[in-house]
Amino acid sequence: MAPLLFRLPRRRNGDGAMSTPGTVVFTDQESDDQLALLDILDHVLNQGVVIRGTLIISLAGVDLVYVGMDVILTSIETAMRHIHPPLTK
Amino acid sequence: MPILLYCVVENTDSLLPPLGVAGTGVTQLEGGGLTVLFSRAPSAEVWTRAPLQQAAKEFHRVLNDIFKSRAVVPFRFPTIMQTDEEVASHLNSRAHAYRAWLDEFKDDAQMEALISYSNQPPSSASTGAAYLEEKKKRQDDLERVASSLRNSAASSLRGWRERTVQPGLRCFALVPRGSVAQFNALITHATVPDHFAVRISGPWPVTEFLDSRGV
Repeated sequence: MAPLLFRLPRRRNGDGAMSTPGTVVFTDQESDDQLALLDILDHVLNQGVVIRGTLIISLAGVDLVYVGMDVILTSIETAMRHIHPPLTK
Repeated sequence: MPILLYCVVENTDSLLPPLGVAGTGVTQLEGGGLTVLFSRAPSAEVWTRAPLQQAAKEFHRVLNDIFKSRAVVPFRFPTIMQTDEEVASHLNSRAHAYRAWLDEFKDDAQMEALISYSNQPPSSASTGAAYLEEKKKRQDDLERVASSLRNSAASSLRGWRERTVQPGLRCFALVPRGSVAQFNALITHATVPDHFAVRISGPWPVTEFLDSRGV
């Protein structure tokens, strides 16, 4: 089963507009900046009702049917950990 | 034909958003006294192919457009079903829970505060025990900031929850829609130590306060 993958935009460090020490800042959902995108992605991908359903993904014109599965969305790093688990002694 | 679910609402007497994700139309189906909003497409790949971030943004736009005028119970993206019958069956079987949530939160919004370290110094711990103590201290510091935020905004709150996340601590505030401006004004008075940053976002549809047992 191929998980749906996406890469989250990286935060920039030391950017006063993104991380202002000792203050409360507000982000605007309507803007296109990275912070707004992070919030939006967290909401639509991590919050809301989850129900089991049937997902059909078409790859190269072939429908792959997954019955009764929960849709999995993960970061590339998390997916790689599952694909290549660390060796245990 | 695959169906991408957006949300459940009580009624749609206002116009539906003209466009859904990837340019698909938004339509509705009624059942159990409620309405579910969704899009259809020849293939689910229309919504799930890269870049997925764009699809997620468009999904948010649809939800936000609807949420501006009414309470919604959003589905997580992407929640996909195959037939109208499947959608109707789900709606009828879960109508009681959805209706309870929509009634309870019909006048509410969710505001969020992300508390994180501005410039977190690297760990100076030389032992495992010292590392755990350092980690606990950082968590305690985050929770103190959260407590300051909560106390500052207390008069505007109907509920408050917290969740540890990778950058720090995310706080969820249940706020009446009419009190969002008051919440924003109050929370700026919270005490935030210099090495912390607080970022407020919202209003969002209420999700963190939904009891998942009903679905």
